[in-house]
Amino acid sequence: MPVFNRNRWLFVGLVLLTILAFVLDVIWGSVNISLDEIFAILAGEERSASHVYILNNFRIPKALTALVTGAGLALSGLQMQTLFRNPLAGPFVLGISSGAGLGVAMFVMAGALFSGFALASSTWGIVLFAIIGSALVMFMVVAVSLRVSDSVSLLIIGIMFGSVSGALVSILQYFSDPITTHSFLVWTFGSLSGVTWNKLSVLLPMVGLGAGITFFLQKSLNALLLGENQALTIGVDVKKVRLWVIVSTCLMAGTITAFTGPIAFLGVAVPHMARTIFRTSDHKTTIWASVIMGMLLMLICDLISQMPGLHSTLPINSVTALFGAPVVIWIIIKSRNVKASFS
Amino acid sequence: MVRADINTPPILKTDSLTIGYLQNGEKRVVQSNLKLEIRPGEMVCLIGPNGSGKSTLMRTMAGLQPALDGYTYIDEKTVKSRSFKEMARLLSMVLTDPMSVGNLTVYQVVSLGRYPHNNWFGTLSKKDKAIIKEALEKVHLLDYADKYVAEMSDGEKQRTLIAKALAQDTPLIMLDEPTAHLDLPNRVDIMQLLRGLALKTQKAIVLSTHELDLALQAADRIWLMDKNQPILTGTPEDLVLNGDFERTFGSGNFDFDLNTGTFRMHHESQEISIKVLGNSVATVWLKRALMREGYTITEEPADFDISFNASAHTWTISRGEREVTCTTIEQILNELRC
Repeated sequence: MPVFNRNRWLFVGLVLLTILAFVLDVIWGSVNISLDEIFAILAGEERSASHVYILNNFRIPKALTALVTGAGLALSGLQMQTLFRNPLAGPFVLGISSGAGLGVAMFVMAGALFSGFALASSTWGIVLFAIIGSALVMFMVVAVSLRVSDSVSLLIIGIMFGSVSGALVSILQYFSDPITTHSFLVWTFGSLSGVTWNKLSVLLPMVGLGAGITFFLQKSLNALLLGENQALTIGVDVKKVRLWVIVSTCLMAGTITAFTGPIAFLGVAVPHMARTIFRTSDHKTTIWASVIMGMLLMLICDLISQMPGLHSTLPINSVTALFGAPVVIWIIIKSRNVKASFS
Repeated sequence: MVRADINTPPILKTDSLTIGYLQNGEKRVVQSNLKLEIRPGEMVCLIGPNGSGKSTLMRTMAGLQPALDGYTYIDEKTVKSRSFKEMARLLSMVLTDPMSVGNLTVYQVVSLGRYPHNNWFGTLSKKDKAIIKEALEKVHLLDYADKYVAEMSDGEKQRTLIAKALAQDTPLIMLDEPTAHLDLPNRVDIMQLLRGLALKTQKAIVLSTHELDLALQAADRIWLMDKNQPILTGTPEDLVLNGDFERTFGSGNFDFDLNTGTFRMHHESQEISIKVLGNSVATVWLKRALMREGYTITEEPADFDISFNASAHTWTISRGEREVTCTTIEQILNELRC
């Protein structure tokens, strides 16, 4: 099959590009570290202590976070679009990011209220509350999914949960002082640089677990393309598959959001790019395509957010949308793939 | 080719089956006490007006929705006691639900039929590939295997789904309105294909349809459903002759013509009677046109006489002494209107 060969070369090309982007991401920044120096440091030679420190504690963890985040959000989006048969679905349609936002808002604002609150400055505190918030929404969605028989109702319920969380956050903001509101706003901008090795050691296994579940679901996800009833008749336990999809998405998107803040757009856009560029909806292909393209896109966005010449780093959440939206618009105009995939 | 044998045990059997819905804890019965049977190699057409419960019956027999009472047996065991996977090896279905497979190739869609047979990742074995190829051959889509479903016509899409059902390799296939949204040549094509499959593969095929004339021609048996009436089953011709067909579908506006096996609309009648002379294909169609306009066709002396001149291919209308010659039926109708 020619398409198969073409896709294999395409994948190899994307892997090489991702490696290139990874290296650039490590080199670029407010302090420039040359490639020679990086290899020397990695080889264990004695170099400038500050450069070693920057490399080990900021650049490499940040670039790794970009990989994990990109892959996780893209995979979550892919599964949601297949499950809900909706091209607009993404990792956050079930209200996960709003739940996390609610957790963070409660934490930040409660911290300001009780001035003696020791955790207030701790980033682990934010992560913890973000996880609690998204997990809470997740449990509600899972509970509902066991009672609701169709996915579209579930989609609407997820959006409702999200709206409720969003409204609660607004109320909290309204009654908080500007400084507290600001620190919450900073979280919503998203950031990859706050993720240390310690946090990576939590983030990576969680996203890995979620991705592993997705990988085992690939055959069932393909069956779901036929519609839920048709999938039932070829032997798919649709309710069970739906539950696993939700669990896997919540694991990935929930943890990522907790550590990096809500990163919009990538999860919706990458699956479309993957389907269009690899010319298929077959999850055997799109799972891998989404992983590699999510990684690449996230690295590129991170590179843009800290381009040499910029005095400070742009919020990653704005960059993903600013850079990614035109790309998706271009893809949709160029091909009619979205229509082919969803009608 | 072997015809379905009355002695072979049925592949599907229902026993005092009651179908319907549970609404706010209340049973809404659509049909009750159903005793139905399908044998291998038999093609059954399920027909009835909208809302008579065709889809409900199919979904209940397939285990997609619970029965209100009674049982469906497939291969001697109740549907209720079978797992999704077991069911998928006995019964394949073609439904009308929306799909998002446009970006898959025909081959990929058909290979999904192997789902209940292959491993966790859907890897296709040599045997799987052979079965998929055979299925594609049977629906004449082998040359289209690598085409995307989005590029196919509606009829080809339907054949792709039938191939998927064949690849599932089940003794029983159910199709919910497989000819809906298709044009006439495609409708005939699909019905013919299904009839051939039942004969050649000895699969039992159940399909619901609104195509009464096609069903009458293609089905071995018909299950006739109507609202608030017990289901009627039998050979198509028997159901026509004993009047069941007309009772189910007849209405104030049309009735069933026993001579032609088609439905005839009622037209507002005019007080004018016409006698058509001669007996050819042309006169049959002329009579149809006249009936549509509401004239009374009679063999008695009438207001007008119309005769067909086969050699010149012209018509002659005569009223007493006056005669007019026409070359088309349209001219005749215009002439009569004056």
